[in-house]
Amino acid sequence: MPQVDARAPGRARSLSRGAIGAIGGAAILLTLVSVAALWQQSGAMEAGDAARRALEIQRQVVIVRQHITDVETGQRGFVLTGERAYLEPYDRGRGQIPADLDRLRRLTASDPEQQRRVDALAPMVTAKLQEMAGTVDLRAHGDAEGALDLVRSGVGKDAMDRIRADLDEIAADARGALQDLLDERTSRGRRSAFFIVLGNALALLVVATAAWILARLLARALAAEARRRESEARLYVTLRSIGDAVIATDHDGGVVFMNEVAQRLTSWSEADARGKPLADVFAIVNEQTRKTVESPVDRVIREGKIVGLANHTVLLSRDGREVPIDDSGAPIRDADGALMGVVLVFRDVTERNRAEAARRQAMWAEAARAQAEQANEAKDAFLAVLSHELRSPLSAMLAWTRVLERSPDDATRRARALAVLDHSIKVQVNLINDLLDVSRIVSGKFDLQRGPVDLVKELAECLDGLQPAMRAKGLTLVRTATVPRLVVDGDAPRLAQVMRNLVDNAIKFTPEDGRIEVRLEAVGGDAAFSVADSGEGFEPELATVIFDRFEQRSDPHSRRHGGLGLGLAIVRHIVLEHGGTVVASSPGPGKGATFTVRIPAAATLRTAAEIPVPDEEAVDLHGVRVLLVEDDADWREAVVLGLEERGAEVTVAASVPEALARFPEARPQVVVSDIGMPQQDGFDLIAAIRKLDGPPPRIVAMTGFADGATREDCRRSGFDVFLAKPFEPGRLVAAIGHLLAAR
Amino acid sequence: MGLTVLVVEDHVESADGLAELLQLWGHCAHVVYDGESALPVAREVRPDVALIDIGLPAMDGNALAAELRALEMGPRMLLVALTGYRDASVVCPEFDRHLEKPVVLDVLERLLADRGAV
Repeated sequence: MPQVDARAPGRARSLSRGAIGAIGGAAILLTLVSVAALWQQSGAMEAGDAARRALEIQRQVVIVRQHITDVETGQRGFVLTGERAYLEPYDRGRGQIPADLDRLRRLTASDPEQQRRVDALAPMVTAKLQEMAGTVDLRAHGDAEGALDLVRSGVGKDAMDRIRADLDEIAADARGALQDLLDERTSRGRRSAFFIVLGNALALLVVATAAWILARLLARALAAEARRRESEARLYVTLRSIGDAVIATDHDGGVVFMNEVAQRLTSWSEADARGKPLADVFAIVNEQTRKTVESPVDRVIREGKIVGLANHTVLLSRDGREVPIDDSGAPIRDADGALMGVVLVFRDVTERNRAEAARRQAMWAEAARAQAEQANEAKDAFLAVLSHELRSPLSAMLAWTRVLERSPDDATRRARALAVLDHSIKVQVNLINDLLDVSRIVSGKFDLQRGPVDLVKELAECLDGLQPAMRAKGLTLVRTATVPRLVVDGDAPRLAQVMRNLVDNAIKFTPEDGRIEVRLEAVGGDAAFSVADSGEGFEPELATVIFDRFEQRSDPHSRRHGGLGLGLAIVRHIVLEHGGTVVASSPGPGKGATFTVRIPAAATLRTAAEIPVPDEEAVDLHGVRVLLVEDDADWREAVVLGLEERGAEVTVAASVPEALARFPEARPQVVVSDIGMPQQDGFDLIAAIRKLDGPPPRIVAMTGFADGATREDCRRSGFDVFLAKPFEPGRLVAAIGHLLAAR
Repeated sequence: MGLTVLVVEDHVESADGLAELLQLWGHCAHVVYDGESALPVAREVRPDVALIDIGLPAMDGNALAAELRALEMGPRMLLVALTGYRDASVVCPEFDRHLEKPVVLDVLERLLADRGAV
């Protein structure tokens, strides 16, 4: 519809321009035709005048001839008779002739040829008159004979013939001219008539064209007006009935229109609001800070472009209600692009917020369910093993207790019974301790009590405790400690547990008379602890699997050695929580195994377990700018929701290049990045960020690769926190709060 | 009257304790720690009763029970399953009895005494 409205006036303009041109051209043509007609008309009139003159000349020639003949007749009559009566026409004729000639001269004034003839005529007439006067004089004096002689001499007749010839010439010339003039007058008259007809036709055409154009213009104007009214009506109805609230303002921000929804949400009637500044009617504050949010209309007027509202905006209605809203403002421009006003569209997002919260809840619930399901399967398998491992020592204890009862005096049996009881109880205690540890790990309550730990001292105590077991199997222990003290920041009992588990494992899997080598040394900034045995070893591809929780080798000897298979899982967890790494290696089954642990002397990489999770509600991330880099859309969304719920301003990027592109504008205080991403990964990102100007952000790594190598890489690359996926959103929130508090 | 009892159990301390107790109860006990060793011993000693742990490595208790039943004296042998589960469905029908570990020793003693009296 706007296109039609925009085009119609232009078309009308071009139409009227064309019309003006056509009418102007036609007017010029009409003028030319009229001039031509007038010109032909005046030519015809001139020809008519000239023809009248030619007729006069002819008539005058006749008169002249008549008068001369009259004079001659009178003269002859008198000469012959002497009667005085004949002299009367003679005298009258003589008196008239000069005037006749004068008139003839005047009539022929425009024709030099005729003039010449008239000039030649005059002396001849004078001579004739003198000749006749001579005869008359002779007769009057009585000399009739002399007079007759004169007449008879023929002089008079010759003169008279010459006069007549001259007059005939004049008359003939005039007659010829008359014919030409009459022809000319006729043809000019016809041409004049033609031009008049042509002019009339043109005039008619112009009038018809003008009338047609006017009719079309009028029809168009009427149609455009009808369309405009219809579109206005439709727009009005549309704005009225639109589901969102709509407020329109003039270019100063004064309210000019509000639809029903806007009136309901603001509790302002349109009549009351009209002309009021928008800020009075549309009062908005930030949900948390309660600070007034700048009116989007002001921004639109200032920036001249469409603007959206910040999140968490609440509309304060006139009657004191608070409505969470989502809105945008857009400039209203006239056809020339000048700002006429602003249209503000907003909606009540209470329901949407509720739905979003529910969706978030559902998303976490689903993630938790999937995790629980997976855990459940592992747990079922584990429970079967656990059941066996707990019941076996119990069976032994019950049987040997009954043996003691039945034969208390049999020294051999008693000694064996007590040894079995002692061993079985220890096995049970260890099993239960491992179970409790795993339970803590699983529930995220495996907390470290950090402090300075001298690993040399811990190792000595550990080996002392295990000496009897080694001696019992005839194992040779080779210990190498290159430094007198090796202090790390960590949890002493837990680090001792790592050493004990690894050495214990070596004892368990090394056949009698085997050899165990224990090394402790400082490598770089790390403490390196390794246990190598000459025992059973394992397939090299199992090097990482053996650390998995509940993972039990299904071959016979693992069962022969008993145990839940939790020891290595616990070792790995403790080491990782210290920001360290543990690696197992073996050349193959039967060829021995080596376990190497590295603990950073001063760990900077924090793990989730090291950061206490406070009451989640207490962590306020308002005003905290976070750049989230994650290629998995579901995780990205889940994390964004978790962070925004606590008020953080999150900028998201799906890849490293995108993250770097958004970095300058986002100015993040914290970067949360996935590690494994296609093309460029989290390590590329952190390397690039370190090169940027400005205050360096804190960086959180989140990854599904929770193995030691990845964690070690994260520590070396300078990540501040390491989160293994999946994690509770509260963990990340707590980590960010912790990082910013520590700053 | 004492019975000849074969104990098949991979947990050494439990197996040994059970064998000691069987002897104190007046039976003749033979112990093996895996399923494969059980068959030759059974052929040799011709046990009246076999106490078999189900969760044995390699040849498990159910497989062993079927093999024992197939022996000449198999049909007369009392086969008792020892399991870590209360659920009897893990035990094959070859077994005459199913005892949950840890075994209530009085129940076992009476069971054997009844068998000896037959």
